[in-house]
Amino acid sequence: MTVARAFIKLGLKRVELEEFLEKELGQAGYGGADIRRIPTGTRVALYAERPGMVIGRKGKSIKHLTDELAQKYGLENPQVEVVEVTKPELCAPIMAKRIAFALERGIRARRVGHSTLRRIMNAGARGAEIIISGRIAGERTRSERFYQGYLSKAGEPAEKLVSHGYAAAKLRPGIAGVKVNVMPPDVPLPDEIKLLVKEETKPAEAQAEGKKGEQTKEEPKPEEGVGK
Amino acid sequence: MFFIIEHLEPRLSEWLFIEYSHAARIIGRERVLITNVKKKSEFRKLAKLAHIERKRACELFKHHGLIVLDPRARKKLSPSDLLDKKAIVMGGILGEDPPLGRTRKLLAKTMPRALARNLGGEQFAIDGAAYMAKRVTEGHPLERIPVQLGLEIRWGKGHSTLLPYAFPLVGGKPLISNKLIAYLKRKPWF
Repeated sequence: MTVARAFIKLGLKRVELEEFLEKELGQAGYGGADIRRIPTGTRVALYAERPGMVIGRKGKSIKHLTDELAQKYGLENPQVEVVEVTKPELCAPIMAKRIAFALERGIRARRVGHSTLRRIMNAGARGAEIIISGRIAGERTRSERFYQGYLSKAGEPAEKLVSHGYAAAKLRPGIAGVKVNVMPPDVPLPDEIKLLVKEETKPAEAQAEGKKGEQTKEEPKPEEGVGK
Repeated sequence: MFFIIEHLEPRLSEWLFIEYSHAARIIGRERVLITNVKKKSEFRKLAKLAHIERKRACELFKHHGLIVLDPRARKKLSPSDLLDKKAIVMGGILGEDPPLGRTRKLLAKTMPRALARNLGGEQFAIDGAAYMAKRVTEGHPLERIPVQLGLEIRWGKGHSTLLPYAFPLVGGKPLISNKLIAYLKRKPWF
């Protein structure tokens, strides 16, 4: 039981940290964080649309953030680095926030859903899904789903290769939840097998071999399947 | 056997009206009583569908003659429960996902001596619950009535609406009013 409690505590701490980062870096177009233990401490990679805002003037904001991470959340020697999100359309948390913002401005859910999906697919995504759900007075809870392309729904690819994002839009009739799932274009899927073709012998080598009187011609043989 | 729908939503929306009218059509106008209709405009509108009462069901009938359909009740509804009962009471509530248990708070607690039963634990729409209850009154046990959890209505390429409720299957198809489908397609939402 104590082991289970320790894991739950760890998970709660992670969620708290995620919420804190989202609150602090919301203005900078926060798109998630990658926290890893390294021999010298903890490496925190922050993905943001506007890295300048995360760093601040003369690095003031990032210094403050590093101190907070060390003191409040007990991260051992945090080394914070900011990574710019070059294609925000492929980052699900950013797109979820954009949809929530558009809904709060009064744009209709169907219009926002279709236009955002189109933008994500035009950025080169393999597939995407947007789910806007909620309840307005006098109606049942329902969800509007917009989808296109290929998207892994289960297993390891869904967990590790798909970008998941969530945001809540505070509207007058109630709160609407926005979920975005994006499958980026360059992810290696486990069922995609690339056959490597053995290179043909170079003409110079063939000539040299021909001089020796042992002219042989190798047929290109496909090798066994190798994952991409 | 009478079917009572206790109107518990603060206002009569179009969605709710469609569900009431579909439920009345499934059961038959003469056997449906909609209670707790306080507003005059709603009274006039609902009078076209079924019998209407301003009072609540707990004020109109003796509790021990009633069965309350509550998704949080401990036992399932079975044909043997109906032997000495006069009416089945359903909540006129448009549910949420996950369910908030409003039927228990607003309906079942007002009738402590009535028999509380569920329809399998899932959340049904009002018309779906009416259909299930009607089938049980006809002698069919709940386990033999096919049910589908969740319904996705596809509007076109890449767009659909998800309804996270249980729907009874009639002839292999989920029971949903055509008017409701038209309403979902027409009505701009959020």
